[in-house]
Amino acid sequence: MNLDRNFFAQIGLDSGALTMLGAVIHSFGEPGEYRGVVRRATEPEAAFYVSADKNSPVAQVNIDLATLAQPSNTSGKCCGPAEANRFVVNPKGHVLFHVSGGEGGYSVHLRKAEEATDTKIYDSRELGEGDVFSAIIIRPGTYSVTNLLNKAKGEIRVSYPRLGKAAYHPPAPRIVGCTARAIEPNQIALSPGQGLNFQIKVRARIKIELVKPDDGPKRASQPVVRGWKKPTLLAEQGTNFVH
Amino acid sequence: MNDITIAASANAFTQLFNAVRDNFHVSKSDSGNFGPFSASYSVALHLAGGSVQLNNDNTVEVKDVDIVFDTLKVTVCFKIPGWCVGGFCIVPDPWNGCLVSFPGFCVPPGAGTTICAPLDLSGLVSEISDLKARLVPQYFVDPARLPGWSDLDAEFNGHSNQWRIFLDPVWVHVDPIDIPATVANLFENLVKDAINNLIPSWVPGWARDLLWALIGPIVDLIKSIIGIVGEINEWLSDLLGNVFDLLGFIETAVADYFASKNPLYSFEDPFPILDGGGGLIPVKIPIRDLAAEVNTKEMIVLANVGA
Repeated sequence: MNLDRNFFAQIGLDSGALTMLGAVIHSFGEPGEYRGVVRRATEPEAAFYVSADKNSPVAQVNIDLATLAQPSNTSGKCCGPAEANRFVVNPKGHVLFHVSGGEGGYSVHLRKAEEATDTKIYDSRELGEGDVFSAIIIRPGTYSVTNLLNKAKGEIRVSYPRLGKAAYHPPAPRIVGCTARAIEPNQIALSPGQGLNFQIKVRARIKIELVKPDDGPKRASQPVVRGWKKPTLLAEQGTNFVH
Repeated sequence: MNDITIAASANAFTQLFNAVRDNFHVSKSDSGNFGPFSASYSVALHLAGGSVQLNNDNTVEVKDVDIVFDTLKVTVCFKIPGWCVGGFCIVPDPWNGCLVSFPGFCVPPGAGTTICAPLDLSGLVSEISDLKARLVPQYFVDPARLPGWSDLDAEFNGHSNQWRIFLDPVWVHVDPIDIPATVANLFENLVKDAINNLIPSWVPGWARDLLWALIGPIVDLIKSIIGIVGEINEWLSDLLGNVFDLLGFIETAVADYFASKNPLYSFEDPFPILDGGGGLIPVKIPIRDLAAEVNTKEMIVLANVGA
C-alpha cells in the first residue's frame, strides 16, 4: 500500500508554510483578475490566476498548491498559465489553499493582475481579518499554538485513539478565535483527526508545535511462553560420547 | 418362473453399498465476482458412513452419509476503502449547510486496496441426509470389444459384456454445509492480518492505532463491505452451498455416480459356470431378462438363461 510518509511525519503546522494537514481560506471581497504565486520558503514555485467574477456561482474553489508546484505545471510555459492554473470564484466566495501531498511548506502571494503602485498584496504568511486557518492534528499529544505576530498563545491536547464498538469518526471541528490579545479558547481538547478552524480577526500567523507526544498505553512486553520443553541433548550440542 | 434367482441379504447389500460409496471421490473449483467482493473455492470430497434400509416398495433408502471435505479452500477478496480524515465544514451557511469545507484525505488515495482472506476449511464434514433409490439393471457392451469377436474372444481379451446393477437415486438430499461459528473468528483474523500487512512497517504505533480506530471492529467492516446481514459463518455456508451451488453439484455428482458410474454389482455375460483348462474351453451361459428388486430382508436378482 502506497502511503504518503508526510501524512504521518508532519507533526506541527504553520499557516505560513502549509502542509497536508493545513489549509488557508481567503475571500477576495471585490471582483477582479488576480495573479497568485506559490512560494516555498522565499522561492516562487508556480503562478496561477484567479478570476473573482461576480457572475460566477462558485462559492468555493480549492487550489492545490502541491499540484501547481509540480514541474509539469511550471515548466515550458512561455505564454501564460495553462488552464489548470486558472480558477474562477465569486468575489464573495472563498479560495481554499491546501496541499494534497508531499513535503509542502507553501505560502501564497496574491495581487491584482493589473499592476499598479497601490496594489495591495495578500501574503498568506500574514493572515488578515476574515481569513480562516484550518488544521487537522492526527498525532496524539500536547501542542502549543502561537500567533507569531502578536505572541498570543494557547494549548492543544489531542487524545489517543481508542478502538471502540464502532468505527471512529472524528467529531465536528472546533472553532478558535484569534483576537488582538488572545487565542480563544486557549485550552483546546481535540480528538485525533478532529478539525480546528482558526477564525482570524487580527494579523496572524498560526504555528502549532508538538510539546509532549502521547504514545498511548504502554504495550505489554512479549508474554512468557509457559510449558515443558525437551532439554537439549549433549550430543546435539556437539559433545562426543565415549562408549 | 425365472431360471436364475440370486439373493443378497440386507447385510450383504450394505457391504456392496459401502464398497461403492468408498470409491466416490469428486473435486471441483470455481470463482465468481459478486460486486462488492469476489470469491473462489476448491473442493475435494469423499463419502463415509451412513445407514442402509431396504424397503418393501422396492426402494433403498440411505441416510446420514457423511460428506468429508478432504479439501475445502475458500478465498474471499474485497476492496477496503481508504482511511479518511477531513471533509469537515469550515464556513457554514445560515441554512445549516456548508459554504466551505476542508478537502478530505484518504490513505491510500483512490478507490482503496483489495485484500484477500484465504480460508482453509478442509476436514469439515457435511451430510447426505437422505438418498432414496431403486435398483436398475443395465446391459453393458464393452466398447473395446471388436465386432468380429465371439464371446470367448471377448473373454480371452478381457472385454466381455456385462450385466450391471445400479442404485438409481430418486432423490438425494444434501444438508447445508454446517460451517462452525469459530470460522468467523478465523475469517476476522485473516482480514486483520491482511490489513496489517498493508500498513508499511515505518508507520508509527500511534498512527497504526488511529488507522485501526478509523477502521473500527473488523466484523463490522467485513459485514458492511460485503453486505452480510446475519452471521459470517452462515453467509459462508450460503455462499458455498447456494451461490456457488456446491450442494447442487454434490447432489448431482452423487446421483450420477450411483446411477451410472459405479454399479453395486456386475457380472459377465455370458456367465462362466465352468472354468476352462486342460485343453477345454470355459462353459458359459448367456443371461437374459435380468431384473433386480429389494424387500426389507434382501436384494433379489432374477434372470433367465438365454439362447
